[in-house]
Amino acid sequence: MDGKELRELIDLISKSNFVTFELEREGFKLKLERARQRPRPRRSENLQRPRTSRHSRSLPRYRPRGLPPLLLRPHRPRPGAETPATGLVDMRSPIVGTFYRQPGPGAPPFAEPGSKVRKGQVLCIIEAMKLMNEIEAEMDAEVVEILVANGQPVEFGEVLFRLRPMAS
Amino acid sequence: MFRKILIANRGEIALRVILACKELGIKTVAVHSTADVDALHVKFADEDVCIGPPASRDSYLNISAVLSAAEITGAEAGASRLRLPLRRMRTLPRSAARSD
Repeated sequence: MDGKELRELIDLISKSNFVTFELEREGFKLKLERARQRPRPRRSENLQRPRTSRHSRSLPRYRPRGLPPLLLRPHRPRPGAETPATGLVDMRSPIVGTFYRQPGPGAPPFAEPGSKVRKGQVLCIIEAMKLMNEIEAEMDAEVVEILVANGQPVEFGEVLFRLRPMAS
Repeated sequence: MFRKILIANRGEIALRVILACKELGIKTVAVHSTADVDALHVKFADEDVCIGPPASRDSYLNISAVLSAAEITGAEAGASRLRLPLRRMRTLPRSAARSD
């Protein structure tokens, strides 16, 4: 049996449905065996059982119908992300809440741009969880800029004031 | 149906909640620490609030920070796997009503 015959034979066998094929002649033995397809792993009972919960009877089960277009929001400019002018210090919010510049409705504000504050002096109030948190100046300084309006919500790390430190 | 909810979570779980909310037409508020500003859930949510420094104890697990974030964004409910904040979240509509 020459190479061409052999090739034709293998071709023929591979097209057929035989799983194994053996051929024996004088001084020649050929054995072909088809690689078996792996049986699919059976799912365990737990996975196949439909899940039932308290809510499944009253609420339709959530089935995603393809992905809705999730659009990335354009990056929101972070308040105070730009570096302050030299010599100025950012005073950032230590908590999440609502910013108030005055101690109460109708009262004069704690600080105005240009006013000089001493270390420990209250600069503003941030209301969080119904608590009024007084935010104090960390150093003797001059208030250069107030970046948040009265009654505006502030997040953690948002720049509230720009201060120019003064030698005490 | 809620109109806006706060997702007190991050990563894949938060994204999954956002996905479901988009389909249901609910606005989402993501919370994040200063370390997660560029996280995907922050970009996909309708709003986001920075609630604290990187340590989760000071941000994601800080109940008052999470609740304050819900308050300032006007979220009506919260999605959370943390039992404690969730229990507190249930009182949110009442406390929000009181502040009005």
